[in-house]
Amino acid sequence: MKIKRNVAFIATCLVGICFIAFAIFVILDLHMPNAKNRDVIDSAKYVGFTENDSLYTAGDLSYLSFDDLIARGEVSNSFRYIELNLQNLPESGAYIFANYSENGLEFTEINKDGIKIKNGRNILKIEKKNIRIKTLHIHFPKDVSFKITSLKLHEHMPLRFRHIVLFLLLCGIWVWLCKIFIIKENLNFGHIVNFKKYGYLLLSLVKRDFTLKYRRSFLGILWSVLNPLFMAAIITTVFNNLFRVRTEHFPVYYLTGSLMFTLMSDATSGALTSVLGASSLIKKVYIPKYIFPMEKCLFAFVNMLFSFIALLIVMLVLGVSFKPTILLFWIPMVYVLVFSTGVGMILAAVNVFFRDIGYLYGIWTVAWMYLTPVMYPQEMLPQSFRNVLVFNPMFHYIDYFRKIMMYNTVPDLATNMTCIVFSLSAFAVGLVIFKKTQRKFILYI
Amino acid sequence: MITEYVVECSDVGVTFNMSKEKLSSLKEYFLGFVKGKLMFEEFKALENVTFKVEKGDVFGIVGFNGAGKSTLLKIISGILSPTNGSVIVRGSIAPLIELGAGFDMELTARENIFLNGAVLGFNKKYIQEHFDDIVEFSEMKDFLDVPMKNYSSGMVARIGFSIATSTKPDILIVDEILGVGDFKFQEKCEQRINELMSGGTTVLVVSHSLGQIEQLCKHAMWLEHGKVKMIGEVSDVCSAYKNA
Repeated sequence: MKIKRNVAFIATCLVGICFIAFAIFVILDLHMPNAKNRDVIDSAKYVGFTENDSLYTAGDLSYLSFDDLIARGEVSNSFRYIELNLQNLPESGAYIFANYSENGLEFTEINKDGIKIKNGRNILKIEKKNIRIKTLHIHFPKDVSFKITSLKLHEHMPLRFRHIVLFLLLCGIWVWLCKIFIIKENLNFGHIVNFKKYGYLLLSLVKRDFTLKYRRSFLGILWSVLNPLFMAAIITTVFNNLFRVRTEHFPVYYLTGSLMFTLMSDATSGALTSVLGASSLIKKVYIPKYIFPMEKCLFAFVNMLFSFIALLIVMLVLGVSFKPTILLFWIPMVYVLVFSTGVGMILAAVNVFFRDIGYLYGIWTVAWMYLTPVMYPQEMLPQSFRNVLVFNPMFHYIDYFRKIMMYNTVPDLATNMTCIVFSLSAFAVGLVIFKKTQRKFILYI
Repeated sequence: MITEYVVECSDVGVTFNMSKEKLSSLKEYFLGFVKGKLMFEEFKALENVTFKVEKGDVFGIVGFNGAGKSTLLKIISGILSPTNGSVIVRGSIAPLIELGAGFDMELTARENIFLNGAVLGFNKKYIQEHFDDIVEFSEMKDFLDVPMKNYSSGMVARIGFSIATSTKPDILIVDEILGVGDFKFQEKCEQRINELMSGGTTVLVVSHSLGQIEQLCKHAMWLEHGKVKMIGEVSDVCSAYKNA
């Protein structure tokens, strides 16, 4: 029995680690440096830069030509990242252009969004995916001396130190989770049977919340549709006139974002107080406690579906064409639901012991909303900020939803993987924390 | 024939942490945590409780206030988990610990019957089938669509009892609930419990009314300060308890 469990433990750990590695690589477009597909040229050897004059005093364009390299098969030309190692560079900026046309007149500026070229290792991304770069031009200010120590070209983003740290951290968390789940708690599947039994309870509770929400109001359920409509009207007026945000179909842009975000914030803040709110039940009858945070999340989900009708109405009024991709609308919704259930379970469990979480989370939700491009276009953010945005799960979900609703694109596998990884890891962590602490709930509520 | 035990408690103990002084700030909490002793005073609600209940038995539990009777019932019905020891329960439980747990006073009785049924683990079909029986038994037909907050406590208890006993459970846990309602309904309740008993249901009863215990039960247990003082035939236990 013990050996069996250890095998299960090791196997789950390995699977998890592979999964994490895969996820990180997909999210960050990383590339393991192995000999086979590493496209590297050492600058010093090729055109423009020779070992003798690797110390430059440049005022004009210095350039590298790749044509002969590609002809010799040394560079595959599908590179997207340039790794540049510089020394003795002064403070003021340098520019890098890539020329991708035959006549040498069409340039793409690689470090345009304020990425400063600094001393040491620089990793620059070429935005356009499928262009053949002919030459690479590096423009430095006049009368400066500097040194190019190396220049490499990569197909994928090269591995950096912080990626390894992130990887090890996630692996650590995963192993810890496995240890709790498999070694300490006996992994059993009784829960699934239990879930079936209490499924009707889940639905009844959602129904109860729904009837109570609109009892004694004249318009009743209609408020779920009207509320987002009014919000969209207000926000559009404010942002179009006051902040002069010019986005095409701004009301739709805002509603798609706020729909996803409200689903998350309603679900998690509902779940936050769910266990405490159900204290009278928990003290008197045996019910699996995870029902309560789950119920609040489902309730928020049902509400969101009504807001979705509002979104469709706005789209119809503004004349946004309905594309077939809209039929995929439920995918990001389910992602967000799973994600918020996980976060909600963490919050519900922690809130039993520390009531401060309720206040803290209220503040955090406001901050989170402004950190996510719900009301403003994502291009407004500076590049440095956008790099951090990839770690915000809500950004991915909202982006996914907008792609489907507004831009008629089906997100690729990498985007889907990113969303799934965020959702499932939040759910897994939530489940473990909830399961570990639920025995003690009754003593604190 | 081998006797079948439906409830088996072995060496069950429950310890509560009674916070001696309220830990008001995070700093205090961390200090306490670092020192390795959060200032909790332990209170043993139950200690080394061991007993078995046979299938079909009616088992009474007596004791003074605060002896741990309700805690024990909560452990058997799974609401609380014991700090140490183990509890084995074979079969489905209908806990009549507090009638109408999960009633939402804003909802009508009709909605509450479905909600409370779901809380007790019934599915929709089952409740629909038994809805008429439940209403019939509670005699509340005229008030079905009135919000529960307008009900009297006796009326709430009637509905609660009707739902909880609409099923035929393997184990019925009864905690002081026969004191609700008028005498006519009490008689009806006792009759329903007797019906269930004759159908093979095991019943656990907690009551301060010794007369009721002696009338219903075969065996009884006397708890004092969380420990078992006596287990045996109901007449022996009751007479010992009376003289205490």
